[in-house]
Amino acid sequence: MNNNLFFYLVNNLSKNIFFFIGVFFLINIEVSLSFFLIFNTATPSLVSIIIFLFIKKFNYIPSNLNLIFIGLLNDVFLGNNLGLTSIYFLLFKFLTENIRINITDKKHEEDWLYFTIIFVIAFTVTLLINMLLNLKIPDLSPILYYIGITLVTFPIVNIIINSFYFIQRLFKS
Amino acid sequence: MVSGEPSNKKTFKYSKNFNFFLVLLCLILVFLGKLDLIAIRNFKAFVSDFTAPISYMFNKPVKEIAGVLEEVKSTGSLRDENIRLKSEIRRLKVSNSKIASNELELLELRKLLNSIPQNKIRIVTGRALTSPGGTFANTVLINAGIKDGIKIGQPAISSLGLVGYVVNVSFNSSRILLIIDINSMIPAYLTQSNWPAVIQGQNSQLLKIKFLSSEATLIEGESLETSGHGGRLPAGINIGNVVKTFSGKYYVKPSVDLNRITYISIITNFNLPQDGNNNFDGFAPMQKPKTSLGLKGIDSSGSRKLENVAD
Repeated sequence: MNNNLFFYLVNNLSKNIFFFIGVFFLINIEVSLSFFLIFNTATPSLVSIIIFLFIKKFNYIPSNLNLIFIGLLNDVFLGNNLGLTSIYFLLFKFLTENIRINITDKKHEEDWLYFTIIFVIAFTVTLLINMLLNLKIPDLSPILYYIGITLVTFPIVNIIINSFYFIQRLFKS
Repeated sequence: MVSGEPSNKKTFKYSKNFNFFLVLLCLILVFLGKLDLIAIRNFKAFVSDFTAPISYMFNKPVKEIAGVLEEVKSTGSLRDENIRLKSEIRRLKVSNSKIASNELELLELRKLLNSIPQNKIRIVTGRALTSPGGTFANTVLINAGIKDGIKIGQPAISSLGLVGYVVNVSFNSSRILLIIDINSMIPAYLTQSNWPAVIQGQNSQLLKIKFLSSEATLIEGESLETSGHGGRLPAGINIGNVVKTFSGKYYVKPSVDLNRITYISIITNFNLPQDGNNNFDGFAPMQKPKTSLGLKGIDSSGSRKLENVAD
């Protein structure tokens, strides 16, 4: 029993560390994407896409503490108010785990709709908190661009991951 | 089984209440961060210092790739660019000769007015380690910090104009709040009509003009400079030009392309006003008189030349 518990903890810890390192690199890539002309206005939220896919596709639920640390790191990188992205990540995870919809029969369309609803809700809440903190209404065009570019990027990332799976299965067979 | 889960798995799962508690904790952290506590500032500075080389490592190749792509894209318009540059050279040659004579005139007038000479600025230049890619904040990290004499509040410039000011500084790196950030407010004046205004960022590429007198008339293309009011920034730094949008509203387009900024200079010998100390040396532009006698300059014979200046 104790042995099982120890291995369970070690297994979880190693998963969390790998997830943290992976997302840390992803944050850096996300920030540096703004050097490209197309992402000058806003860069897509790659971290949100990955968190969503990890929960839905790989059935891996990242720990809350991990998400808080990733959020804090993201805030320091971007110069945001400390803790703002952590709230966003926690909300995003909570909604991904709890929202259940059944609109379409097709799995990939359902995924995209899920992601759209969850992303928009979590982002809107964070945006409202940010507006409350600054007591100013920001220009909406970069925000809408940010939402749009993230929603466009989601199926692209999904297809890339699926093609990796396909190649992997092809090699195995 | 190595990957087996213990029977009391529920004890390891966070309850929904705990989720809300964590969100609340983060909210408290956000509000504490807004209070600008020294501990939080130090934490940010430490993490920035620690992660700055990693950020640079990631940014460098992406920046290079983006640069190559842009160069490839621009090869198609090389001919047009060449024609444009030739006409630009001609225009600059004309304005250069005018500037030289204006500079002499300015020196002479300063001498006549017994004007206090301006302090020479001392700058420290650092390389931008990150790009301003945030949705909620527009900041840039540079690789110069306390060891180079940088302090919070000092203005950041580039060869084209104002970039922002230092908001956080650690031993090896500093964070610059860009003028396009929503929290940035710059006291400025319109260079042609001399009306003062405040230029506010709105997290987009254009800046808002606030507190401008209703009597002021904005001209498209008119440039704006820092006025130095409040003593936070030195006077006379170029900010940008007035642009008119499709909706008919006027905004300011920064003269610096903040997305492609590579090097940022910090004016390190600019002293910020201390509490209770009102001896700041701000520039208070005078309004243009409607029709009056104005000192135009010195003519070729060396005597002062006075003439009517039309509005």
